[in-house]
Amino acid sequence: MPTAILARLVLVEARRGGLPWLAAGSLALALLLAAFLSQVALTEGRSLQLAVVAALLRACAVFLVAMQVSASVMREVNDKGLELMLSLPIGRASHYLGRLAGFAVVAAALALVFALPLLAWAPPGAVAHWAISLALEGTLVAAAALFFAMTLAQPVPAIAATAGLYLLARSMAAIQAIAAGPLVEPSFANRAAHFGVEAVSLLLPRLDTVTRTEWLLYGAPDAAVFLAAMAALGVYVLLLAAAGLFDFHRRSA
Amino acid sequence: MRAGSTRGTTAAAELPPAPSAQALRLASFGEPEALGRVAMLYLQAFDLGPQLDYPRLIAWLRALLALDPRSEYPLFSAARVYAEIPDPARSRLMLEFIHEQYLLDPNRRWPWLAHAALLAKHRLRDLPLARRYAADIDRHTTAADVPLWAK
Repeated sequence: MPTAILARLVLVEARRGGLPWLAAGSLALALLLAAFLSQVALTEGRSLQLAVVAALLRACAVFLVAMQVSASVMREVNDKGLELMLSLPIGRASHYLGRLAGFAVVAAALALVFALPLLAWAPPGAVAHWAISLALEGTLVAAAALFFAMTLAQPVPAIAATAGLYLLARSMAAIQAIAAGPLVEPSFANRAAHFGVEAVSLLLPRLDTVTRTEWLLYGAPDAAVFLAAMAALGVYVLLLAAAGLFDFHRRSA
Repeated sequence: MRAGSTRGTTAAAELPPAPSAQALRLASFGEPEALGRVAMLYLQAFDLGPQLDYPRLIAWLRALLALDPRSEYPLFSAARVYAEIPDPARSRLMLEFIHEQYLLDPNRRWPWLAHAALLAKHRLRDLPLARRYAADIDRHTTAADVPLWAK
């Protein structure tokens, strides 16, 4: 029950903090930009609109979730609300997981709101896959942002760490392809760099396989592939939650 | 197409060297479909004139097709814009590019090679070239929906 109350508090805070307006602004920006760009396209106007809207909304959803989490935690720390919470008879796990659950609901709500306009361009099945994937991706970002915000206790490093993790995870497949490319000289330094890239890639979630615009453009993914990608995201959310809980338990009141 | 381009805009500028497909994929941050289409908007802003470097243009189109192989924008531009020019040498370059890309995905890209064959026959008046393209469509395209006129 404390978990559910804390989750509800997170939602109330998000609503009162203007997140719905920011989401509406993001939608308007994406739709206007897509409409403008499609006016100059010679062909594939609808595909261009869909691709631009989907890419922008995905970035906005992740950005809004990360900002909301970091701002919420920083506000609680600065207002001594965290210390007040820790003095109450609420388990630290309930506190942490309640907040994470609230942020996960925020991510899911943003995913739903951002997916609805895509029905104008893409079939419902593909949009549903995209929305579910974005909700989980947002939850992953929330877990990462909560972990960094609680651990680093400063907003700028927390946001930078979250953004760095996210961008690196999204571009890791391309970095691996470059590191393993046929034009790379087989020197010791290049082999070491390749090994380092492969090692780092094992630690990161495969964000290049989720929330793909190609699902919207060319059809929903295969069920087995989709479930495997979502399961991998779920595992990373659990890992980040566990890491955050461990650090939170270690933290002195 | 564009009236009164000002100095410093892409219309009058030289087309820069094409990035590699891997560099484009890295820059896309997991959104190659969006970047590919927006990059085509950037590419088409360069004036279609004698100063347009066709080998560089082809390198750009090749990289953008590698970024999103199922997008039809690069081959549409190649066939309907960049190949339909008065200069036969540059037109042939573009038609050969279309042929090269067709061989990578015949069942999806045959319409562009069919258009290239028509350009070869009616614009370049090069019947052997048109026959070569038509023969390749007949040989490599196995999709059931290819109409008889294309073969």
